[in-house]
Amino acid sequence: MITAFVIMIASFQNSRAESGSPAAPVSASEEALLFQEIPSVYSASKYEQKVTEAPSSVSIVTASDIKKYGYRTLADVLRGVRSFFVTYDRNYNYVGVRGFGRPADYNNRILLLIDGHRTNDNLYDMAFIGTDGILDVDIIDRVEIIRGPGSSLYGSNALFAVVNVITKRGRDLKGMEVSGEAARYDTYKGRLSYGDRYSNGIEALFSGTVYDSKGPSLFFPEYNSPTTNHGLTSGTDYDRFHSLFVKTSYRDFTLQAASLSRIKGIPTGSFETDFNNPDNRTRDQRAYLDLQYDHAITAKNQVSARLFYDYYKYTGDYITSGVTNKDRGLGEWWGGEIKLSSRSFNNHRLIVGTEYTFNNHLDQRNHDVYPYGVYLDDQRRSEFWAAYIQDEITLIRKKLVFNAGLRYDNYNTFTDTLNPRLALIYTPWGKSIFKALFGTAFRAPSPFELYYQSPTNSPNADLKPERISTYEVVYEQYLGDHCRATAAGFFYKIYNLIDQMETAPGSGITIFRNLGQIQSHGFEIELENKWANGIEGRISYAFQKTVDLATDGILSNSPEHMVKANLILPLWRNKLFAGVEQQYTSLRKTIDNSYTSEFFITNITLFAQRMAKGLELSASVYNVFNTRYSDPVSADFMPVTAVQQDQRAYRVKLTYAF
Amino acid sequence: MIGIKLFFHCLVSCLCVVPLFYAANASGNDKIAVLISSSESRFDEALAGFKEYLSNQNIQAAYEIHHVSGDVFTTEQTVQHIRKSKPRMIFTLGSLGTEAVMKRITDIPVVACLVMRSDILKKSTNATGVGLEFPLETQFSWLKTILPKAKTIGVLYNPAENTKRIEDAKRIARRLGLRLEAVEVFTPQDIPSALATLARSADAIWGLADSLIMSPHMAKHILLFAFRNKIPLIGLSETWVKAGALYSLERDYSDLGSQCGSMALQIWNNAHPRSIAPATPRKIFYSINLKTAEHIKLLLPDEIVQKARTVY
Repeated sequence: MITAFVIMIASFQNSRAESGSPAAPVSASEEALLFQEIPSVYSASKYEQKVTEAPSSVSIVTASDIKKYGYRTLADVLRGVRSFFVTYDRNYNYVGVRGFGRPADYNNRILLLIDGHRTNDNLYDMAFIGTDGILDVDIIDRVEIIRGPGSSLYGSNALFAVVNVITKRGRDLKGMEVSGEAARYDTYKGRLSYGDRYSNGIEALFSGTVYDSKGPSLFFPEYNSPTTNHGLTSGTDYDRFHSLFVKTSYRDFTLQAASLSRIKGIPTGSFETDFNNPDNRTRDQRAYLDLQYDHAITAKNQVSARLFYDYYKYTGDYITSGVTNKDRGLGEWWGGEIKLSSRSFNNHRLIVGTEYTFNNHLDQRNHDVYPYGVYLDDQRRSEFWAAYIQDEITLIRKKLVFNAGLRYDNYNTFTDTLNPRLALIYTPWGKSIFKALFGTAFRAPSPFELYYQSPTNSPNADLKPERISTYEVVYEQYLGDHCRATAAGFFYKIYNLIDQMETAPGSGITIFRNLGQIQSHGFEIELENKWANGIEGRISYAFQKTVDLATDGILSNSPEHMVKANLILPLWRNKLFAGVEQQYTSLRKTIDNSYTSEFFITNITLFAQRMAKGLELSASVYNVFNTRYSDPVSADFMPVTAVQQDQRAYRVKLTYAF
Repeated sequence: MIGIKLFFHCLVSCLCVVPLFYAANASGNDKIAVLISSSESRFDEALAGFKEYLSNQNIQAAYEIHHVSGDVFTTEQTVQHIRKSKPRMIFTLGSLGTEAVMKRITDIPVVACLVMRSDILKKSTNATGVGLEFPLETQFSWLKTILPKAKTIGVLYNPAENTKRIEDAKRIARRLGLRLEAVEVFTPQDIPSALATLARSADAIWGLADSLIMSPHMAKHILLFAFRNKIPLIGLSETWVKAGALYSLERDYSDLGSQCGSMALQIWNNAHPRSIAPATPRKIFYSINLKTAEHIKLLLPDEIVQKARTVY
């Protein structure tokens, strides 16, 4: 949120630079305001100013992209973005960025915000991006993906990226909207939304979604024996959820509430559970309440405040040799944040803020139902507070922007931490932008990593925070009005990496440890364009080499090469579009030092709008060429080291607004 | 050598003086000096309307046409030249020339056209004319017609330029049952937070002619903001509507010239400019953008669409 605002401000500073001294009194040629030629908003390519002026490398995915590429979840959105990759263990989706993606890390190295509200839970620090995501992608207005360390503003978890999801508002719907979709594997989804902005100034949006998928039948060669159904499992990959989202605003206040309950079958036999048993499952229940206040005190000073309450409950049923093990997690936390931004000083844009979070419940329990046996019953509370400051200084006739930020976090569970970020943004010519960035970020060990104990996991209360230092250079070049080329080079080093490993080889018992250092370097290039005839697309290549310094070997689940190509083709007027996506991921090392195969994935969506009033139709084919590929998974899945992914799948979707 | 230079100077002086002599002589004082501030085609339309009106009234004036641009020195020279040529009246098109003339010439009647606001003419003892801006009552009445559900109207303004305007607008809006939420903007950097404030409360954004805010550099930002936040923006002119504003009120530039012509006729017939009140455009059209209306899910009545001069 802050970043987005800073970015926007920066673009206006440039505008001022171009327009000389606009604070002067009435121009003699004032009537020129009437006759000037103005570029049409319809040809504007997304949020180019935001992207260009940000003190980081930014990608933005809009609601239009989500429709035209047929994205089903936030994981699909992120999968299509430069330098991001997503692995799926057939329960949760895990994001990898710039060659770093630890299977089963619960996405705790990215920070996921919804309208500025931190959504990573307090037990596992998990960012939910799959069908466990609290937000239906249909009510996303845009997703801002800010690469690089963000702890100087956002604190823990912002190691590799901050993903800020901006939701739609009542005015975006202006009435009722109903949506239904059917997909392969007996998958059905329905959504009912209503939103409007009323003449008394109140704006409201309500949206509810129900989802049910039986899931595919799967084959695991590791279980290919008569006792485990020859490796075949069916009826175990089911996925069901229902969610609710409410957003109301009145003048400076916005109240938001969201909830989700999702049940997912576990088909993989992970945690040494009985293979092909449909009773192996997890249930995630997530809810939050967020009250935000934004007020302009003066033209140059704004205040923003937030009060929030969050709830997360996890329940896992794991059947081993007929014994049901119940795994429970309960997280509840509340807090507040206040932030002031000021431009009262010449050439400075200053942001200061503070936040406080109280973790009312950090409860974990693990027990066998019969014979009854308790392995863990851990109940805790904790709190932390933080203060941050950021200044953006504009220098050399507005051509150079120096951005410096610093945040202090104080946890009562471990020592405090200080994280800076420095950025130099140089715009020697209007369409060339150079950025040099440095920052550090941290991740506090989660209660799960510190205290979790079960028949297959040992606790480790001595874990230290994980830290990252990142250096990055970015060159962005506009070629024409809507063509942008980006080249970025990066180097990062992670200290005290928290990772899961077996307590002893072959023990089947895992533990989280600070495993030393990870080092990575790489570069990315991307070209995106939007033509006047409506065709738009982007192509990117990312190279990264991520090494575990302890072994000097390539890190597992770290693809060295990724290529992504996205194209939207208007097929008929402004009514029918084809969205084509191509993704290449090179081979990745698995936990047993073997490699998954490289793969190409092609997704195609036909999207129709305005065929009839209020009607939208889409038909998607995912993995068009039926590529067989697998994603590396964690030690919890042994003997499975890589889990097969969905083959060709389709989805048809109908949305009607009335 | 000196002789050649002297001869050359004499020749140049003669070449300059002869046309002035002819111009002065041709009029006997039937001459109207015209000062045009822009090469924009609407200025030509207004001048043609002016000439046609006077011609239809059997006024056979000689027109001495001058063009000015932003160059202060050239403008100054041109105004001095007009002053020396002593025309019967001066017809200015555009505020650049109008302000320069009003500053230097107080003894020749001035009729001004295509100036944003007719208010500036009230300060002068020898000028009258027609402003481009419609009366606030007219603007808000049209707003109520096209956007009947809009109650809170947001506007950005630079206090150095528009304080009085905003005070008047608030009063008039209140009278018409509207609430004007005016947010001060001192520099372009203030605009994002000002727009964010409006996004939370405004049902529509009124585009007030303000050189700080509605400048060409800011136009794209403001239009995009309105577009993305689904707030109808009332543009300053058709070009704004074409670019994405919902609607704008439009003028008939030829008729503006005629309107000025009628004032010029009164002055020609010895009326004093001070006796002729500055006016606003008498003809009103409007342009609308249906793509924008669709984007913000606004259903405009057929009657409104059909009566629009231009529909995008």
